[in-house]
Amino acid sequence: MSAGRRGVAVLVMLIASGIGACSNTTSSSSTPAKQIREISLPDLSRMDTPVQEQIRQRYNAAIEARKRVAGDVDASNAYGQYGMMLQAAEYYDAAEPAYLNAQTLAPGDLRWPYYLGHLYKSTGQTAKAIESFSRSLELGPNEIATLIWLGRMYLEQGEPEKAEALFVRASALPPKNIAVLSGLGQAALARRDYQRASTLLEEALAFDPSALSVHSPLAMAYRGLGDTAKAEAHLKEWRNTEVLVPDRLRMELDLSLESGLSYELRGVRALEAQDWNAAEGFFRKGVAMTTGGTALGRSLRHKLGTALFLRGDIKGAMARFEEVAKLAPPEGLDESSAKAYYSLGVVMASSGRNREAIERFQSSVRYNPTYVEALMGLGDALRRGGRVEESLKSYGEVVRINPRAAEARFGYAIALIRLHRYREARDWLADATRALPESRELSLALARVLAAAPDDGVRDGTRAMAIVEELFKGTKTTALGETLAMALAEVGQYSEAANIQRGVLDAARRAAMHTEAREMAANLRLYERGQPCRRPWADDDPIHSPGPPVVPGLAAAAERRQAQ
Amino acid sequence: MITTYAHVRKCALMAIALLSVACGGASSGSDSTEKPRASAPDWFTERAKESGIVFTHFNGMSGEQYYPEIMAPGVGLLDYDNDGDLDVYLIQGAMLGSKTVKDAVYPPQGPLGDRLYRNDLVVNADGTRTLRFTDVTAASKIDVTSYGMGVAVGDADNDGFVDIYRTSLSGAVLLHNNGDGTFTDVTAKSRVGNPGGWGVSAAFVDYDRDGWLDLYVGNYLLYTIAGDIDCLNVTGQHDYCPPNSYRAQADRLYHNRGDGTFDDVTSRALIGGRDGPALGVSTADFDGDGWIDIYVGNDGQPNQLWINQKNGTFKDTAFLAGAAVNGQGNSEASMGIDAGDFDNDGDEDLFVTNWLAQMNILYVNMGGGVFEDRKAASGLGPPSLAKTGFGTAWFDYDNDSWLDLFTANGSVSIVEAQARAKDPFPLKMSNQLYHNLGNGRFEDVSARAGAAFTLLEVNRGAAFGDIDNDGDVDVLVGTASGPTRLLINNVGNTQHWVGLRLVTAQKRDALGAKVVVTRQSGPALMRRARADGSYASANDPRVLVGLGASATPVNVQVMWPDGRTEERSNVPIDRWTTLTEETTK
Repeated sequence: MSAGRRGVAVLVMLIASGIGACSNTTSSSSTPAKQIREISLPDLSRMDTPVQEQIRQRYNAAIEARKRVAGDVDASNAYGQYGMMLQAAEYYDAAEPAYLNAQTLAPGDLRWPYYLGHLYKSTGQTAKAIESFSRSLELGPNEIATLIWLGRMYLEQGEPEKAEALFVRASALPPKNIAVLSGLGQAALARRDYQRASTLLEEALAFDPSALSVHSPLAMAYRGLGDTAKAEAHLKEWRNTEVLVPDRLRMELDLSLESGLSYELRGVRALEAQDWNAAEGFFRKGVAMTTGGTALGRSLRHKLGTALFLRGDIKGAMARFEEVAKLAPPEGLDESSAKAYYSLGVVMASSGRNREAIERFQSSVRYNPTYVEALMGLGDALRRGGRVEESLKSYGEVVRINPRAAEARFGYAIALIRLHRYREARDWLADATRALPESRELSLALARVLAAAPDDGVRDGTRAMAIVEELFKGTKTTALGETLAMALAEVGQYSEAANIQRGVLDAARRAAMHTEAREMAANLRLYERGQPCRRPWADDDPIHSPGPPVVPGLAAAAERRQAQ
Repeated sequence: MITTYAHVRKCALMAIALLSVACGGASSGSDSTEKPRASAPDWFTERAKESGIVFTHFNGMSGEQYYPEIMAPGVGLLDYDNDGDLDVYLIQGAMLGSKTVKDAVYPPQGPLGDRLYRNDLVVNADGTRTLRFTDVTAASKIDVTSYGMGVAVGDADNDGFVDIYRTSLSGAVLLHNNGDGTFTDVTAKSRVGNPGGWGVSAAFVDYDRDGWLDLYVGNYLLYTIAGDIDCLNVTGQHDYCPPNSYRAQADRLYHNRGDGTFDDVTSRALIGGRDGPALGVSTADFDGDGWIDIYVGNDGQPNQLWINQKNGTFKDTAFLAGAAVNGQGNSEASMGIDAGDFDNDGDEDLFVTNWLAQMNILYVNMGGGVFEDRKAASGLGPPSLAKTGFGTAWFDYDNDSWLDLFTANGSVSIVEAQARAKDPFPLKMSNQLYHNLGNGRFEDVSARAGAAFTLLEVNRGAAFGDIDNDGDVDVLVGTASGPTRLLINNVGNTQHWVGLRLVTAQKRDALGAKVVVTRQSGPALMRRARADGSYASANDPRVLVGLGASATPVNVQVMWPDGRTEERSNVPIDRWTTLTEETTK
């Protein structure tokens, strides 16, 4: 199931469950001498006004429900919902007595021990968390989320056998889900049953390939089996993602508090799940609760634009980005403004409006001078617009911030080459390849400069050949073949160079690389005449026009629609 | 050459006065967790003020909630005057932003600037100690007033006097020890200024075996006050930002040229790694090949394990080694770190402190630098769930021959009860002590360790060393916007121990040297000389090895940082001994 469809499934479950209702809820009004604890309001003074009001309302409802000698279930709900709001606001101390009251008044309601389990987990009270989750599970033996959370608790306790038993129970319940599969794998891994762990974790990843963090435990399983190659392959796929639990109760909890940040967090979670529509909805609610004069307000508006862009509404996205740009503070640094200008820069660059792209990227960098993507965008746009000398500063700044930024080192080198400063380019690339030996692009560029620079003091055909031969052990490309031909010609092997060049030229023509093919044909003629190449790249080579593919009129279309 | 310079009272005498965990009475294992009798002293006693360390950290907070307010300070232990006892270097903050100290929530409690305290330890005729520190900052000519973060110590020029490297919110300084009680700022000349770098932890390490200490600097985030992000929590309250609000900064590796200058070799030496927001740095031979490697804890991003390629370069192998992320595949906060052989199997294991919603993590070295996350099986994980850990170290607080753990804790986000009580800096937590049960498991014994473990403070850096030279490891703790704490160990020397100062042929502390101590009974004990690890702090470079009930002299094998190995037999116990590397083999 895709992440988006999984999100829909969770929402369906939420709707099906009813708001606040629970089939296991029973009245226990006949139980004598129930101990009701005092509940209190947390310090509300520094909270947003809407949040203060929500918490006060729920607090008053809990107090009133008890005063009215309401039925225990009603009072239980009032206490429980107050606890939920406090827990969502991360006021765990204040939430605990509210939940305990709810549990006392309705001991058959699985929600309250469930939420208590989470509360105790969050506050490090492991034994109490296990006790509460276990109690909830007794009331709802088929609650998948409870089985998973309790299983995870046992894993954290170093009791994989107990955890596994719970995950096995969960696996018998539809629908299949990644949290159960990975839990089973984790339990096997904890028992050092690497074979079973690898099987289960492979199954987990096959079921949900977006759970990229699972690649790491899977790699550990393969490592345990002695298969280092497979382990390394999986580690290359690793990203820091969360294995989500299908959890309707937790979602109810999250939705119980409405604030700008809570909507931003929910929106970001939806973005991560690639559910653009849900993300848009959350961000819109957050925007409605915040002004654009705050950093959070600008951040929500920018993220709304991002969600709109991702679901294909370029017009809406542009409007939001422009809005944030207008809201940007006149001076100082501002992350959201930097991101908004960057996004506008990308749209302009994709529309072929290079001058405007440069302006937007410059504004972005002004609001965040260490914004690497914006600096790269600016460098590329400057180079594309013929302002090559200026681009050096942007690329150089990226390298200063991150010495391992291969693309910036490459951009800097190509800019030097475009400026015909071959000696500097050679030295820069030599340093870059020492720092980043794994970068094929940098090595290839160095080989080409060594093979074909017009400056006699720069060329070194033998060294160029050595680099190209090393690169040939990996993926073969037309650019690599072309560089090999240049190096062969430089060491006097014109016939071999011509042969290689013919093959490369054929491949380029088949791939409709017309600009490149023209230059290749010219070089072929040189080799056939027994002459070396003296131009690593032509001045009109596409390598000198970096940036996103241009979609003509993209921004204009969006602007037209906006004006209508 | 063997030189004894500090005779310490014998265990038998101590047994009369102190605990039921008497000399010879406690074997390794779970029985040694016996609670002291009610009349027994606390295991650790806080004695900073009474010994003369009266220092309150100033974090420059004015209500703006600037990120750096919650990150410092580190603390340092070093014997700057070579008198055989540990002196104290304390990191100070400064006002942040455009406001003045008048706007500070907590005004400074003294002059702003780092402080150096000289240890004037007196060993009385009856063997008891009188611990007294004197503030010698002015006499030392140390004048460092930028917003400090951490400290590393090492003799960078092999002149026999330990130098100080101090990280800060922007850049760093190297203070050269002139050998006469004064220091000179040689940052510009030495070229280790880490320009623009928000350095936190740093480590001196001779990674290329040329006899000169090189320097690894862990840099945190690309941050400026002007670019500070205004973060709100879920209720709309202003709160400190999470680290992913900012970009990570590249670490730096400086190679010591041996002429008072260093080269920045980051790009060509650290191959194939990615930048991370570094907080903790520990150097040790993780893969057992005799060459020192570097482990870096990154906040919210994968940790790095730089394996020494023996040619001046390192490769980051943390992922395949199983030490980049936790067992579930997630990167964690990784504030403080330390390497030590907790299971006495002859290799370096790793302990990393984390954020409260995570758990501290134990990476057990399965041999050859292959690690497994054993936080659950060891019992170290769950007790840390409600704590945010910073400074930490493997140290054998009760000298039972098994390495225990201390964690300096303090939150990075608002603690509800403290906020309700109107505490302007509501991030306070208590510290923890974990006892190694000798069977792969640990027990949180904080509740039994004394009143020092009930103090609620914003604990950050922690440095470990035998400050009163009595044969057990004491702890110096730095607190953000709070007083420095000195936790004196009252119980360790009730069991036998051997103290070793390892000195290289160049006459400096042999950072990175390993010792294997063979005793009459029990497994051989591998330990190493190190000043790094923990969080932003510098430890006692000497090695104190708990021997439990083993009451006879020990044999010591030393593996020096340059790869040479020497054997020393019949090394006396229950005292400190200096072992100097032979200049010829």
